[in-house]
Amino acid sequence: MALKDANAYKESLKSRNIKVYAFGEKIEGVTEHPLFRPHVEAASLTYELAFDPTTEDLVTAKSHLTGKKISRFTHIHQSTDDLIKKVKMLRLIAGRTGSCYQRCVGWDAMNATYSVTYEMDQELGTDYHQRFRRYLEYIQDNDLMVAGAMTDPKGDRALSPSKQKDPDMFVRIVEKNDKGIVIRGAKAHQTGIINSHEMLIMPTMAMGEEDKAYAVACALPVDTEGVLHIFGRQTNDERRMGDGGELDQGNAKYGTVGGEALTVLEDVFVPWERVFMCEEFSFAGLLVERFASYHRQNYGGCKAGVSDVIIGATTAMAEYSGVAKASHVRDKVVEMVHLTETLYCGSIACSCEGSVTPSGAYFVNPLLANTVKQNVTRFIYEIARLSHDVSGGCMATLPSEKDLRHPEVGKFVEKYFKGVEGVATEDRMRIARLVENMTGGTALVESMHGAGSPQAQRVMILRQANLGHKVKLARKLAGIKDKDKES
Amino acid sequence: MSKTKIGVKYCGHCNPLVDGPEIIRGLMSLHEHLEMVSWRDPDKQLLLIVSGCPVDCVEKPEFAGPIVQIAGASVNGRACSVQELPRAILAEIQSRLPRTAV
Repeated sequence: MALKDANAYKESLKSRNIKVYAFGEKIEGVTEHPLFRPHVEAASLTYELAFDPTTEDLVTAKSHLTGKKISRFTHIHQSTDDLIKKVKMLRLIAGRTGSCYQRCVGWDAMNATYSVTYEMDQELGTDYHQRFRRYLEYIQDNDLMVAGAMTDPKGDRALSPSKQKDPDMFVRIVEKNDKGIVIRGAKAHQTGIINSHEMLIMPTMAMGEEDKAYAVACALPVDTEGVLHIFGRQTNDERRMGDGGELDQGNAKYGTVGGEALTVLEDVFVPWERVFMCEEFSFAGLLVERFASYHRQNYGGCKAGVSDVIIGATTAMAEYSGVAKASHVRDKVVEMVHLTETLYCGSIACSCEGSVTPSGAYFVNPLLANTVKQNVTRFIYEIARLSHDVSGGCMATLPSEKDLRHPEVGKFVEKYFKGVEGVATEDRMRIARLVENMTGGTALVESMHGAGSPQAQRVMILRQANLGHKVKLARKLAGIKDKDKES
Repeated sequence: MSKTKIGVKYCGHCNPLVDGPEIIRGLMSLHEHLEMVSWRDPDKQLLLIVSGCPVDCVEKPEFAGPIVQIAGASVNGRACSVQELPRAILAEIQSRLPRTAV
């Protein structure tokens, strides 16, 4: 099977029997529905760019399983160079979409599952790794999009999975037989799952023996019997519907976030060949850490690319308003660039400092990857704040596109929202709407909580901090003698 | 005079300082006998690697013939302005290939 292009990807979505609900209705024709079309278009670009000679070097790779040319989104990292190219590719695509294009979650899930199944087999004598390799070859050969499914609804966060009043708050195994397992529960915040082919389920936290039923990793098509998706609302999503036009959406083609759903699993059967963890609770935490670190690595790539667009929009807005030469405006743009490149620095660093796992796959430096994401939870808000400062308040009060085009009042919108000479009012409005939609609401929350909430990174940072070594450095410089050596 | 085949390999253009396709268009406008082909073309006479910035992280294919490398605003390690790039590239190509070819 060859790489899919954008059209082949969209056609492949149509043959699914996926069950999706949004705004109280069962959705038919996801690829054409205005609510989902931007997310489909964003994901489509990950396919299309594989055929562009100016992006092919980043967007494609050579499979270590088959030697064939594959989408990098289905590749297992074989070197630090691969890890670096991942970050660069993410920045590239984010600069083109100005939005999340979803496919990295499943990619990170595959990389994490690849290395952890190898180590599980080494320690426990299981055979998950070969099973996963066969699944991976299927994904690569068919160029499929996989949704990485980790986050459980979690219920009472103070209680472990098995202590929850409602046992369905975490996905668990409810039956095992000679053909496979049956799972029940839900996965929350599932990015891109509506326009994916497969989902790769992972546990969401480290577990003890009492939680072993919840230690499950498996893959299934998103339209499997018993799987239901309920789409989440986003800021300004109603602007996509009806006949309001496209200007008010800001980024009409690609949206502003990935498009997330609650995916309910009602006693779903998974055959053994697609099961990669079944009650091996001692490895649940490792799978979570590997996935989380790979995913946190991304944010200095994708959010740098999105920030590139925000910086461009902010600069354009300043020019269109006639304030671009003011020194404080230039300094604010400098600060936005500084913050963006700091994020990028971190993602490149965690990639350069990556290392090989026993499976042969390369893993990022987890301390640096968590540092990147921790910075993202703050810097994106500051980048947005600076953008708002420079762009001005009009983005919060702009009339609609309908008013701009109105035969009676349009001329007033045209007249009173004009900026500098030579720039059409509509262009100024378009840029203002782009800033408004990219820097508000859902987009910001995604930067905060995507790939794990801030405290999750702080836990990992503390764990990796090597404080003992730092204490030794300080004691030595302070002249404190080592008591062990004295006696 | 038959056209000289130049195989072109671009970097991924994640954050380019120079626009590879634009540079190539400028190059083609300078010499009507250059034909740009894929870097995979087995009949290419020269390989032109076009990286959008000095990091030059593109994966470089094996090729036994002459190679000209652009990395941002430089040609085979020699800096020049972006405006001068097409001429500098042509000069380098001409120095690497026999006179009859270009």
